Amino acid sequence: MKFLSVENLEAGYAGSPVITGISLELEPGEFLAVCGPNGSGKSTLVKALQKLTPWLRGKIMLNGRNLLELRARQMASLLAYVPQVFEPVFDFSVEETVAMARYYRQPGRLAGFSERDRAAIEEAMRLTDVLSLKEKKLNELSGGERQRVLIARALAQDTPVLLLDEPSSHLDLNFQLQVYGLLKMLQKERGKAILVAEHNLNLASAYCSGLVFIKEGKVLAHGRPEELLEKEILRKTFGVEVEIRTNRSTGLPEISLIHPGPGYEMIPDREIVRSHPEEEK
Amino acid sequence: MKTSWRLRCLQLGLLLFTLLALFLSLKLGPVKTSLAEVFRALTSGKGDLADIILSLRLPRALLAYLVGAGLALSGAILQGYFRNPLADPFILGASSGASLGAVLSLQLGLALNLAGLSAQSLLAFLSSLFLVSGVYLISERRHFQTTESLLLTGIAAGALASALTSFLLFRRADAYEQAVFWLLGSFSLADWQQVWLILIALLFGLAGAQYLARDMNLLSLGDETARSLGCPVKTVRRIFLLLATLLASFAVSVAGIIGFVGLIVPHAIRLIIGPDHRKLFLHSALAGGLFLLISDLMARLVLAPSELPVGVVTAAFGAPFFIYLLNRRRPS
Repeated sequence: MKFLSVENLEAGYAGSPVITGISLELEPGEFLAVCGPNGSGKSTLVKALQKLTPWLRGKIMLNGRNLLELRARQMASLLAYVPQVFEPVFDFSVEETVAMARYYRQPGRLAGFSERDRAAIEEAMRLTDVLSLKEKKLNELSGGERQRVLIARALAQDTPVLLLDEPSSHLDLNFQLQVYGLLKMLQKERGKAILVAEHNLNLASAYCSGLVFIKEGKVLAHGRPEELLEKEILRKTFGVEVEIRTNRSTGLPEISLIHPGPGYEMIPDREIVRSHPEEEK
Repeated sequence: MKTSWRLRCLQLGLLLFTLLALFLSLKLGPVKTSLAEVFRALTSGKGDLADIILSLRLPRALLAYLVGAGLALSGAILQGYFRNPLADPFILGASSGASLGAVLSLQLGLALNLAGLSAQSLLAFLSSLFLVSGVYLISERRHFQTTESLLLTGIAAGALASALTSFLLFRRADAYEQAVFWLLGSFSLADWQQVWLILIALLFGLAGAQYLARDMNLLSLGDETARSLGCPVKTVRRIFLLLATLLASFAVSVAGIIGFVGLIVPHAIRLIIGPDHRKLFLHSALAGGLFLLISDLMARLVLAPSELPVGVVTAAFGAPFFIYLLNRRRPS
């Protein structure tokens, strides 16, 4: 039995499932990226893995237990989640925000933080390079800084599985490399199981051990980056023409878009994708 | 750390000013009393003026304090609940429901007394609870996500209850004066039974809120984040809504509708010590008590020997203070 296994999952809202027939597995030390066009169901999948999107059918086993039987606290000890958007209402500081990841570990509801909690909070802030911001309020941070704080919070939760919804979306190139480098380190050295929804195929193929292409809520292809970065598959999934090259620093394949220039008409497939706008917010 | 220094200052300030305000509430009034008499009444219960101090001024001061604490706590809970610093204890129609009940009992001329509650208070309490429960049940059935629909249903139901109240008052002008006084809030009918009743409600509410304060911190980040950080969102939300509604309904039933306390006190405390609900709940309650104690003192003194409705005072002197606090805040 794999650590996390999803069987034939259908999720979304009654009458209009966003994802259907999704099956995938994730082991400790695996780093999987879910890629697909806008509205294909990437975020829905990440959320459904934590029951944040209602399920219509299917089964998820986590660490040998049915996900439906887990209580909120038990889930929090196994899965950490970095949402795509986060709009803080109250002025919590960076440190307070990261510390909230440890609430579920406190023995009683009124207990304080233990030495171990403090060490985990500190380390998470150090790894994500937000230690110098710890007294700042979330509202004072830039999008990229905020994103790193959310990642710090997920790390402080100290779970075997990390789920991230488009972690690179608010980050500049340098921080994208930092964040993916950090995730890679967590995968390699700490044996975390990581699943990201990601738009940037080159980033995903350089760092992830596996890719899953989904389209219209269904898995279209699943495999190692060098297997999936292939002209025909990319045309089918995204409706674009690409060239495949080899990145000199990684030796891994990388896509290069063929720009059609002005007067570009969408390939019909792309139209179909556009008709599922639920995801794209 | 800066925050803990501010917390200490706040605590010290609250303690000193509460003692001072409590003492002034006992000493000042239409009947002149000396320092010695207040002291003698409190220690021995004897003296000519002991009766005035112990059975009029003391319960009134305590009731004002407890109601203020309850309203501020209720406001703090609902601001976190709705993730909105503009929420107040009456946002789901507790006040409109209570007014309707009170005005109805005045019109029906009901007379009874149960645990310190008159027919008017009792009906106000029940109709307030009834209205908020109805709002909750209606909005829960419709949607998967209830916060917005709850809020909107509350506003609509409140408007409906207010319309009915106005209609009743319009039909029977003779009850108008009595009703208006109640609608603007007053502690002139305070007695010891009410003090005990509100004390129990407040302690219950405070204990519950404090116990779940961590979860409120998580809820204030949004339901999805709260869930992923280990908060049983649905259960916690239900409990908080129940606590906030009970506190608001009890407060309204003994003192009428006193606006502004539940809105500005938690907000002001949050500006001073930050948004952590583990500290915010308790200190909002303490500050709300002090705020209403002072407001009631002013309501008694400003136009002595006649009295102002205390709701007028809370707004008149709370609003400028609030604006000052908002402007003092550094721009982000």
